[in-house]
Amino acid sequence: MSLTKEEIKKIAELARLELNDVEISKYQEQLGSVLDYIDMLKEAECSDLDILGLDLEDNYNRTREDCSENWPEDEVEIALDQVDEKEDDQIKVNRVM
Amino acid sequence: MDLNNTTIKEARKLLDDKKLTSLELTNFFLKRISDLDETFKTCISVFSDSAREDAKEADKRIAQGEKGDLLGIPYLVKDIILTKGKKTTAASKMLENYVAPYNATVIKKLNQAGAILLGKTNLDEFAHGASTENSAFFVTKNPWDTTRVPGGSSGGSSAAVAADLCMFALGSDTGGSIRQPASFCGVTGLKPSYGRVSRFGLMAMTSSTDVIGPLTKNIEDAAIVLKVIAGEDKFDLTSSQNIVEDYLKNIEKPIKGLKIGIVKEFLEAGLEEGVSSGVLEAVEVFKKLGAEIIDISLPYNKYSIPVYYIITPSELSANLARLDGIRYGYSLKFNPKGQSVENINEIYSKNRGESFGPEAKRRIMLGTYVLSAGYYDAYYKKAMAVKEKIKQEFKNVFNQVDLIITPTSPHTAFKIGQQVNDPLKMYLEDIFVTGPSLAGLPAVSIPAGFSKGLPFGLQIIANKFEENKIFQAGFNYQKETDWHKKFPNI
Repeated sequence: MSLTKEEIKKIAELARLELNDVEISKYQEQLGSVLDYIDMLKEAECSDLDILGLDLEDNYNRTREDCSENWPEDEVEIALDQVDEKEDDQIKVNRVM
Repeated sequence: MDLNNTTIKEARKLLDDKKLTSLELTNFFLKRISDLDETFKTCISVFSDSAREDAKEADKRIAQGEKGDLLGIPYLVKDIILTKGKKTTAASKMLENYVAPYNATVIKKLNQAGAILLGKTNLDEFAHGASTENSAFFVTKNPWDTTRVPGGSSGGSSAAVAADLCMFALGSDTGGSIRQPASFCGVTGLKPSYGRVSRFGLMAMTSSTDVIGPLTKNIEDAAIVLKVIAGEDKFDLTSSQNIVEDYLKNIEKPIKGLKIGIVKEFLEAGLEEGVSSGVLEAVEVFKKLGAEIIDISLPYNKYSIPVYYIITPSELSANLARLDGIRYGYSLKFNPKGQSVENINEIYSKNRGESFGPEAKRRIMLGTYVLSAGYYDAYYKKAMAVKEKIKQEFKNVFNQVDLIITPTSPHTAFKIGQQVNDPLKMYLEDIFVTGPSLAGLPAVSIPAGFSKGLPFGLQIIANKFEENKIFQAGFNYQKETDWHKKFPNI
């Protein structure tokens, strides 16, 4: 299966990845060959299965109270220390609206 | 005292008999790391000061009469597992300076047990790879031959255990990332059952198959470590509520009558000559030990790689979407904060485009594509159906046998750079190890011989939560053979 350069650019845009021209050409070729290989799944017979994409036998929903927990202060501090700029324990970012 | 290649069990005895202190043991490994890691490049960070402090603390606990399997035992951990107040990079430029705000549950458990954290090991960026060449920082060398890869993605951990830079190391395994590097480096590497060990604090790659496990010098040590790190965790609701067994209790029990399946088509699948003859020799050892060898077939296993390379990119493209450089991680300087930017997506795309490496980008793109409108049914839904087939196939086989043995990898460690430009070839590295990951089964790779001077491993797979059978078979095998006692001449 081959992908066009336009398709690669569209995928990169959806994935929020800025790619240069060299990368676009490289991924066009490499993703094409991986998709060719993946295509062998077409021959895999599994029409006897009614799969919803859920693995119900081993995995099931376990719920917990939807409440906030106070995280240790020193841990909060380490997290907040990594931002470029903060104001009153809040992260300052570019205005986007 | 000669501490070279000491196992956890041997060190435990020395510590408890007061013939050795944890500080001496810790200094022994810190010295080896400082002398040798220039060559092997296994560690991204080393914490000499905190390790010595922790060791002194462990010595106090031992002096007070406290007993514990890992009390005072030094270890390394793959740098994708969070360690509070210490850098956790995932070997990515995106997180090059990221400091973990909290400890992963496994680290918390090891701290409580009194184990000594020496440092963090190299990996393929975000655990994407089979050679550790995808690290954004440097390539780890195989201690058996420094022109070769250590395997991956837990290549730093496997090489460190092989080079005797720690007593044990933690890795993570999503589709073979503990077992394949264990095979390439001639060490023991265990992938526990899905859900057996909490992943809280493990950076998520493929949430449906990620597992944390130990790399050790023998199978008994793997059982010792698993006993400490396993168990339910309220912070990881996929962690199993099954009680953690005492894995050491029946480990020495003879395996007479144990039914072991061998997969004929695997042994015909273009294996390196020395690997194929070595696996057959291992089968003979199990026969000699009284196991019953049964031929089995796993026809759907050939689909495990294509299934994996749909499910994995799908999940990781979502898991890595959180990394945008806004709150933490790699961030370019844009307009002063508080001012408008033209396009928020431009910020995300530039931060991500500049900081993710080639394999991470490839996988994010692949996942984005196979989940996109119009392609979802053909790829993701089909992959989930075939994954179910693979699981059922294993389930049926485990009605007939207790364990399955296979080669871990079709060959020994390849040369650095040999496969870098061929991602598909790299994906096929995991042909024997990905099936058990998709089915959530426990599996170990143990050293089983050498081919042209390089080690290779034997994989032992069990039914879900039957780690005890793996330990029992592995222990009996290692009592009969001494492949696990071979270390590289360093």
